[in-house]
This record gives sequence, structure tokens and C-alpha cells, in this order.
Amino acid sequence: MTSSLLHPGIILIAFGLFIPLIKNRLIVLLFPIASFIILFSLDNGTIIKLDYGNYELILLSIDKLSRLFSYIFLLILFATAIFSINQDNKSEISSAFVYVGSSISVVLSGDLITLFIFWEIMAITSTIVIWSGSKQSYYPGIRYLAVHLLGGSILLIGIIGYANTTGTLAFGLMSPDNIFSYFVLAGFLINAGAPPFSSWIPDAYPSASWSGTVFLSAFTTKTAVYVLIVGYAGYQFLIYVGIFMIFYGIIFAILENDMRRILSYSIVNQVGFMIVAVGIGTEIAINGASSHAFTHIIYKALLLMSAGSVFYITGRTKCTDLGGLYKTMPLTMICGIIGALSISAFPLTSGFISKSLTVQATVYEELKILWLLLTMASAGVFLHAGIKFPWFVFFQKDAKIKAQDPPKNMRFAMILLSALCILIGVFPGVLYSILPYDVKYVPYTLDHVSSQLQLLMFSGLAFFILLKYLKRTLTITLDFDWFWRKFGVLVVSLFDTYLLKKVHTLIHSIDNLGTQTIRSLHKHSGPSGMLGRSWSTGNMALWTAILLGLFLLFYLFA
Amino acid sequence: MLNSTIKKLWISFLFILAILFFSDLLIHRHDYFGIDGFFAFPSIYGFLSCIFLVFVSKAIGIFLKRPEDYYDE
Repeated sequence: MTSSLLHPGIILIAFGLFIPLIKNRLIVLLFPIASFIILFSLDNGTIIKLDYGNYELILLSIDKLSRLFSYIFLLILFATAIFSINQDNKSEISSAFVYVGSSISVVLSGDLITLFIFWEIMAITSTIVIWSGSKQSYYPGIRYLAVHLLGGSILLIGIIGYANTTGTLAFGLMSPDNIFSYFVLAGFLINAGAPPFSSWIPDAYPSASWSGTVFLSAFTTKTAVYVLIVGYAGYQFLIYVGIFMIFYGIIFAILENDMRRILSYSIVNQVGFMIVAVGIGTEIAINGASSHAFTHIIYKALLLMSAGSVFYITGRTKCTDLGGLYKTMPLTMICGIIGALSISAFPLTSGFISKSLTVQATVYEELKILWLLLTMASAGVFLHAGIKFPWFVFFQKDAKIKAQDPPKNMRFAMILLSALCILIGVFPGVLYSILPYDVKYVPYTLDHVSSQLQLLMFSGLAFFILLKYLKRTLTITLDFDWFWRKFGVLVVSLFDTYLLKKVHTLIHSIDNLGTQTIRSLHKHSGPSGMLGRSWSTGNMALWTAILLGLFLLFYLFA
Repeated sequence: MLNSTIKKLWISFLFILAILFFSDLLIHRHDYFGIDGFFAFPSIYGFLSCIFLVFVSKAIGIFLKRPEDYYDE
């Protein structure tokens, strides 16, 4: 009985709360291992159930897909815990563990209420991770929290409505005829970084610390991808959402100057690929979405570790301030390049064997336009992340920055993830065997390798030919968040100066009227008022006698 | 980096590009949609895609780029 109560996510949350008390940070590394052992020892199926009135809460339910997502979450938590051993801010590490524990609990939950509870814990703890960054993290953190609480409210409306109309809380493929399933979908999409709320990713993530950004990159958007796979596979609408995100990510990353913001835009781009795959919804597409989530979590963490190391050592994040670090930070450069090659889906890296599944899904479904768009986007990924990030940080001009590779633990974490990127790329069978559906696809054919190399190398040529147009400037790019950061503020200030004055006088006169009414009521019915005061017993008796007398007289003469 | 090193890098890069471009003569690529069976399609399409994307973002940048301190109070 007790053994079946061990929950891999909740135990991680419990561990996380104890982290501030722990002195030796190596002990922290044992937590994801413990959680992994618990998960590994559990069989697939529903394991922890609670009865709650007419509904059933399923706290722990495991299948191939949720197992895949939980494993990668634990793996990246382990690697990032190594990377952040020298992060002195304990509130960051502690809240990061609670955040990851609740992400795993979302993935392992079998009903919408349990999912919602952990969904909200994720929002709060990830905000604390952001706030642990610096003083400048305060406002981005508030904006981040506002977006996620809005998403959470929409999700809750959807869940309550859905449970009321269908009579079930079970989380599976959502009925497309039920209006409330679209509220749930909207809630999920906000966490995935879909328009018009994509800007929370490049706004909030880069304002966390050098290690905080690595923690943040993996979980919120990927739990969203997971719940979209479970609830909304085959919803064609998602293809359009995904395509928008893919090209939004590329274009905004091309215009961006801050390296960690470039990589954040690139998260939107990559999640876009996954959402397109969810929208296609066939077996190979779902395999594509889940394997892409798996490999993306690794190489994006690797890229952000590389960028985080540069930030940790030099204190700089802007491309215009960086350059020439290949001489002083060679290991950081090599690991960054391995991450960049993986995200670009170079043969022999993890990206090649995962993204190909999604692209192949469009071929099987004969979606020509979509295939052309995804292929264009693959070229664009190399352009905005694959070359742009390493080139501007480690090469271009020599910025003459004094630097060296980061401490041992950070180097080790980067080497670990680099090795994984290559191992998964060279031996795709391992990842393919844990995907939700059987994989018959063979990524390494002469045809496919040559096509991909042509595509990428000629994108590289385009990059260097267009280099002078890609030169970075000290600018930011407006996004949808302009509407609430600028336009909203303007509306409120107009309201303040013009409308509020009139409203104020109106409220004042209503207030006066109210006061006068209350006063007159008080005068007549208050404790000393004619109608309200208490009477003496003698008076009462006299008046009763008079009334009875009148009644008698009336009775006699009637 | 030295100018001569850069020159050597460029020459080897162009050499690799040429090999990949003409490898289409030897490797039979699948064509699923007709257009992708075109000679050296991935090379041409990848190159043009990137040029297109850079110029689209340039055009969007004209309208949406602002100084870094735009949002500062």
C-alpha cells in the first residue's frame, strides 16, 4: 500500500521544499535519481485514485507517452542540477525542483482537476525561478505571472464547463463538439507560447539567472505539448497555429540582439513544429511531436547552458557586446555548436532523427504546401539559431573580452548533454523504441542525408552572403505585448485624467445621497429615534390597555 | 583570425557546397510532390528560403523595431 503511494512528481515537490536546508549540493542530485527509480519501477496503468464526490481524481496514471515526457523531464532536471551546483540562490533551485515536480505531476495526472492544480503550482514556482534572477526580473516576472494566471482562469472555466456538460473529469481526447473543450485548448495554448501570447517566452525567460533560464526552457511549453497531444491530436486548427509560431520565431530571432532572447524565440519556433505535428495527428506525426519534444529539451538546454556560461563568465548577453570567444571559451563554443547543429537537424545529431518524423508525416498525408513551409522553416532554423548564435557569440569580431571556460560542474553538464545529442543522433533506435507508436521510418538514407545537407549548407551560404543585413543593432522588436505594455497603459492614463474625474464627482454625489439617506434613517429609526428607541414597560402596558379598550368599544358598537 | 585562414575556410566551404550540389547527379532523391525532384532542389530552395526570410524580417523590422529603452519608464 505504502509503495503504491509513492508519486514520482509529488516526491520531487517534497524534496524541493527541503533544498534550502541542504548544505552539500551534491545531495540534491540524488532527488531526480530517486524519482526516476520510482517511475521506472511502476508499471503502466492507473496507480493512485481518489474518490471525490461524483468524480474520480486520478493522481498517477502512466502510459508510454507520459513515461517518455517524465523521463526527459527528470534527465534534464538532473543535468541542470549539475550545471547549477555553483548557483548560490537557493530559492531558485528549490522552486525549480517544485516546478519540475509539478510538471511531472501534470504529465502523470489522469483527470482535469489534478492537472489544473499542478498546472497552477507550475505557474507560481516558475515565477519564483524568474524572480530569483536579479532586480530587473521583477516586472517581466509579473507580466509572466499575469499571462499564466489568465491562461489558468480560462483553463478552469473550460474544465468546470466540460465536467458539467459531459459528467466526466477524465482527461483524454477532448470532444470537438463541446464548446468548453475550446476553453481548455486556449488555456493549453497560452502555455505553449501560441499567438497572441508568444511574447511571454522571450520576455520572461532571459530575465532569469544564468541557470534559471535553463530550468525554465524545458517544462512549461513541453507540458503544454504533452497535454495537446493527449487532448487535441488531429485538430487541424493547430497546424495553422504551429505554422504561425514557426515563422514568428524565425523572424523575431533574426531581428534580436540578445543571445538568450534569440534562443527564447527559437523555443517558440520549435514548439511550433511540435504543434503542427499534433495538428496532423497521425501516428508518425505524434511520434514526431513527442520525439521532437524529447530531443529539443536536450539541445535547447545545451544551447542555453552555453549561453548561460558566457553570461556567467562575461556578464554580457548582447551580440553587439560579444564575439571572439572561441579563443578563450573553447569548450563552451564546441558544446554550443553541437547544440546548434542538433537544433538545425544536422545528420548524426538528435534533431535530424526527430524532426524528420514530422516532415515525413506531411509526405504521407500528401500535404504539399505544409511540406514546403516546414522545409523552408528548417532552413530558417539553421539561419536564426544554428549559425547566428555561435557566430555572433564566439566568432564575428574580437570583442577582446577576458574570459575562460566556466567551472567544472558547468562544463560537465554541457559535455553530458552534447554527448546525448550525438548518441541519440547516431543510435536513433533507442529513442524510437520508447515513442508512443511503433516506428517504421528509417532516417538514414543516402537520399535524406544528402537533401538535408544541401538544404543546410546552402542556408549557411545565404547567411554569410547576407551577413551585412544581419548585423545586430541595439533594438528590440515590438510584439503583441505592446497592447498591454504600452497601449493599455495609455488607455489607463487617459481614463485617469479625463474619465475618472467625472466618475469621481458622480460617485461623490451618490455617496452624498447615500449618507443623507442613512442619516435620516438613523434619526427616526436609530437607538434614540422615534421609531427605533426602546420603550419602558409602563408605557407599553398603558398603550396596550388603551388599545384593548378601543377594541372593546369598537366591538360593543359594531 | 588571419585573412589567409578565412580565405582557406571559404574555399573549403565552397568546395563542399559544389560537391553537395552536384551529388544530385549520382544520388537518386525521392520526389514526393514533383517539385522536389528538380535538380539540386534542396540547395536552391534552402538558399532562396533564407534570402526570403531575411528580407521579410528586415521589412517587418522597419515597422516594429524600437530602441532598447522603449519600455522603460
